[in-house]
Amino acid sequence: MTVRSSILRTGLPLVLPCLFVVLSVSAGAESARDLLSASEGTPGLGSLLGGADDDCAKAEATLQDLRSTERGLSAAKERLAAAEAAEKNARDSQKQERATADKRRSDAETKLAVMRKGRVGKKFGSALELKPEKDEFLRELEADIRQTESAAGQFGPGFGRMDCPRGTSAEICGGAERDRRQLLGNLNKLFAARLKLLRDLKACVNMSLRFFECRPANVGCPASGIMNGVSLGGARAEFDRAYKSVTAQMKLSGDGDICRLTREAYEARLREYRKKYEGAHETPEERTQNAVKSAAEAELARLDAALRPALNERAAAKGALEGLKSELAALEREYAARTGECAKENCSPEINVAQTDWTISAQPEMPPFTATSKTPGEWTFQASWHYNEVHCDYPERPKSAHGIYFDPVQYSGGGIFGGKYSLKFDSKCKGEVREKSESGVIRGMNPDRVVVMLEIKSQLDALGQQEDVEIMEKIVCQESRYTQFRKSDGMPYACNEKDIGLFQVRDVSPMEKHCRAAWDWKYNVSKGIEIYGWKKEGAKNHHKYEMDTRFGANSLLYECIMDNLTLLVNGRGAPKGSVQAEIVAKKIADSMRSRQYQIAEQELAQQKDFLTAEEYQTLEEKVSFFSTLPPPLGERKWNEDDSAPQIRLRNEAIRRYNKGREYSFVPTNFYTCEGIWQSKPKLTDNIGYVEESLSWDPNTCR
Amino acid sequence: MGPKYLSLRSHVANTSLNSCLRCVVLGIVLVLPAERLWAYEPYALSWWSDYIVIDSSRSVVLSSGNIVDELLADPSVSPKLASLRDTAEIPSYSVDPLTGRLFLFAGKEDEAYEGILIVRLKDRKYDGFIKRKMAWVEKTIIPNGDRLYLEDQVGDVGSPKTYMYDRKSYAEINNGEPLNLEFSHVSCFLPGSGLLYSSRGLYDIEKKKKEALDEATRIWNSVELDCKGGKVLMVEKKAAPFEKGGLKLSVYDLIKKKFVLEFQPEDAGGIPWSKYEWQVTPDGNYVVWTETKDLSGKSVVSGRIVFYSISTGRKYWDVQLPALTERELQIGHGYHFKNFSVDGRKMIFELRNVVYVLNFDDKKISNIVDLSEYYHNSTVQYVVWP
Repeated sequence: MTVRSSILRTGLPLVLPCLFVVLSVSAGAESARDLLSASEGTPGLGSLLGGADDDCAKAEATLQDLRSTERGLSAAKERLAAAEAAEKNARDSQKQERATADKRRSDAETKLAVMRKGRVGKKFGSALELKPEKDEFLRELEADIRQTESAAGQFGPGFGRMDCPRGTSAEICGGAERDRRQLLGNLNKLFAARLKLLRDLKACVNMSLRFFECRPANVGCPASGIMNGVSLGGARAEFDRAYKSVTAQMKLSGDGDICRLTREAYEARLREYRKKYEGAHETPEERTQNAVKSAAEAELARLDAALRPALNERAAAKGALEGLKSELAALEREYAARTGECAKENCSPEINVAQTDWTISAQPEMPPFTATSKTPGEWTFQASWHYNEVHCDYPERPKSAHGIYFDPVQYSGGGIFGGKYSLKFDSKCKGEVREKSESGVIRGMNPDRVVVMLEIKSQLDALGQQEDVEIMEKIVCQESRYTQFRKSDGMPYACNEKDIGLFQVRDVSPMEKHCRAAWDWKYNVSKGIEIYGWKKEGAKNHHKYEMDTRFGANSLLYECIMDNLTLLVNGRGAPKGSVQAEIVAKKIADSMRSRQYQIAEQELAQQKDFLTAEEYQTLEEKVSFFSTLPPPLGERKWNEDDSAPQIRLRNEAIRRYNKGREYSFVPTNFYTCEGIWQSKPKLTDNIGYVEESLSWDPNTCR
Repeated sequence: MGPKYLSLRSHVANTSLNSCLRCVVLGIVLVLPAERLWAYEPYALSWWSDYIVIDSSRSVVLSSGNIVDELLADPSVSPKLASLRDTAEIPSYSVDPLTGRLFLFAGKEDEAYEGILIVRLKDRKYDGFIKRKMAWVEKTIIPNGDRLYLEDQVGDVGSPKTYMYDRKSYAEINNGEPLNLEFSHVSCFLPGSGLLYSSRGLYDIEKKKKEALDEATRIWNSVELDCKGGKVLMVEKKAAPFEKGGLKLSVYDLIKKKFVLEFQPEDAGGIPWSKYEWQVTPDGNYVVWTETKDLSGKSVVSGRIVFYSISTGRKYWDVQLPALTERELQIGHGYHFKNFSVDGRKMIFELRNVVYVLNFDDKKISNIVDLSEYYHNSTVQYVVWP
């Protein structure tokens, strides 16, 4: 410490500390101090160490660059923060308008979907009416294919006889030959991509009656790419001339993506055909709804356009920040290489962070959490949040990172995460490691309820499951009252063993995904929707497991079947010897219960000798009928409301979302074993879950 | 009663008595009546093995906690329960009321159970673990005599299997060889015997033999509703047997092997197979109707309970628990029958985490215990009332 203080006081040039370290390693601290005192005002000392002077001067220069870049980084961060705020403001100001337009569009789509569903049967046949249009489209497509093939053919000869222009050196001409080969290769790739796009589209159109539903493949072939690897030498003018001639033939210009332009042109044509087709079959009500939808889409497009400047600025600010970060990393590497362990500042490690506690935005986006130090060193970081068996550590296994600048988010592999964090910085000084640490919290911010509702809707729209919007909004009320993070400390809202977030999702494996559901509320929504989807599937297949022993066979139905079979096997329904009859009936019923109907049939066949033909036929018919029980949960009984099956499926899915099973089949007719699906919740921790969920008003969660 | 015994036990554990003196103290404990050894306070249990101990004399909560957490925190026990750390869900319970043992079926949701954790209710200490992979469906352990019967529905072919265990040591009997015996929804042991009534016959478990009953014709032409205390409650078999006014019930005495009662309750009906709507009390003295209403396809227990005496065939007690609110009726939320008390003289109901104890011996509601502040997103799953 004394030595360091004395260095600071004397204000020696940077060369001295470098020298000091080298000497202290060989001669110990005392002799180094002597040498330092002797060196005051002795400019030639650096030369004793060969290039040390030079190295340290360069290191100092790099350090200056580092600091200047770091300042630039702060400015870039401010620019990003301002851009984000501006974007948020722009979004907020549009929120109501966007929600209204979105709802109008969605309502129109739902109505249109219902209307189209109603006439789906005849829709296919009427596409035949577009046969002339299809032929016309095919003709044009084929012409385009031929033209592209021809254009590709022109390039080879065009560049094949490349003479060295007068007055051009042999070296330049040699380069031009290499360029020629490179350019031809690039052109071949470009034309091949466009040809593939056109031929694939032709194949689809040829095969499909509803050809207007074909879509050109999303391949890219940027025209600018043809110059890749071409040095041009002195022959640029030749290339340019030939290139322009060919692109002009293809009615294309500039450096655009030829494939994209082609795709867009064809998509526009196909849309026209589709409109024509739909227009011809539109009912007045569909026309109205299509108009509503178009108006809403136009409104949304207008809003998007209004938002675009803010988005562009944000992207530009982010790009600038990323660029500076890379530059900084390169400078750090350079500085580390030049200084080794010699910098005097290393002896006093420092961490600079703007604040200790951070918040994940409601977007959700990670905060601009970065740390810097005066000099490079080793950084380690970990943020952790643990709840019962849920262990979320970012990164899972910390490894040290070197540098002057540290970005914990990048270091942890990106994504959205939080919890309590510890940040450690080690720097070496005279062979000793000196440590500085910082700790704090990264919290989560709850999104607005309306924003969550819009996200649920948008995700379900994308999946074509608009009918689930209301249920999912109610489930989120029931599960969390729209809470992703605890209000008290901003940590994920977790209950029971490992239920997490808005939708209290669980069993999202691997753990990495479970943790994502804890910190990224949009992901939590998508998992909630996915889980509900599984539960809906389970509800549809609920009847298959009612008689199955592996899933807790329905004993009432089994016993009803057994009773009836026992009496039938016994022939005359007499009770005498009923134990024997019961054994046979049990074998049949058991094999039905384990869904092994062939065994049931074998058992049945064995009864043929003991029964009259009439009795046997009755028995056979009964077994055949019993094997159809219970009916699917979604099957309507003759005396039910139309909505009853859908209500059952919905309630079963909601129950399963919580856990357990909602419906049991109960025989009500003791002769036929036909019956009803009765709500008898089991394996559940909240019997009232379904009723409570359905009773929520999602707009208020009351 | 329970706390006194507990304090004596603590005293023994805390003093450095010599071994001889310990024998004397243990001797004192052992001469206490058996009932005293098994004494425990009422419990309310919920899904996650959360428990609440109730002071039955004052109808208030004595203590609460989590059984599995407490066991895992005990270093002398936790190594034995290592597998429970990963399978902490306790979705199902069974109780041996007489020995005061709680059986917790432990496993992961929608997966298999790992086994059965056995805990003493008097102090919630570990008493054993029966390891057995079982399907994740509701299960029960049926204690009788010196045995425990566990019905396991795992199996690709045929009926569920029943396994026997020693009621004290929990050792498997018959080397784990399962009985080809199935407990139907109406099965019961004849009091004081090893005879099981199941699927309209008496099954001798030791002899592995089923005996047809007298009056079998009539039994086969009826549908069983419940069996307890040596009595089987049946309803006449027909296409719509539960119509109000047309309901024909009968009681078959398994010991006398004859029908002892046939009656037509005038103002009672039923929703077919509504769980616990029609029952026999554990002492075999009463038929109980727990009125259940059909509200938009959902069976809702209204809180009206009617007892009929089996000996006289007359109405014995007609009682109404606090009426359901408009809102409860609207969303179809009614009472839940939880259990009979261990002494078989009380019925326990629950509504919105308030426990109601109906003492039908004395014809009174003996306890109302409000547990609502202990539950937020779950409900009382099981109540054990000694």
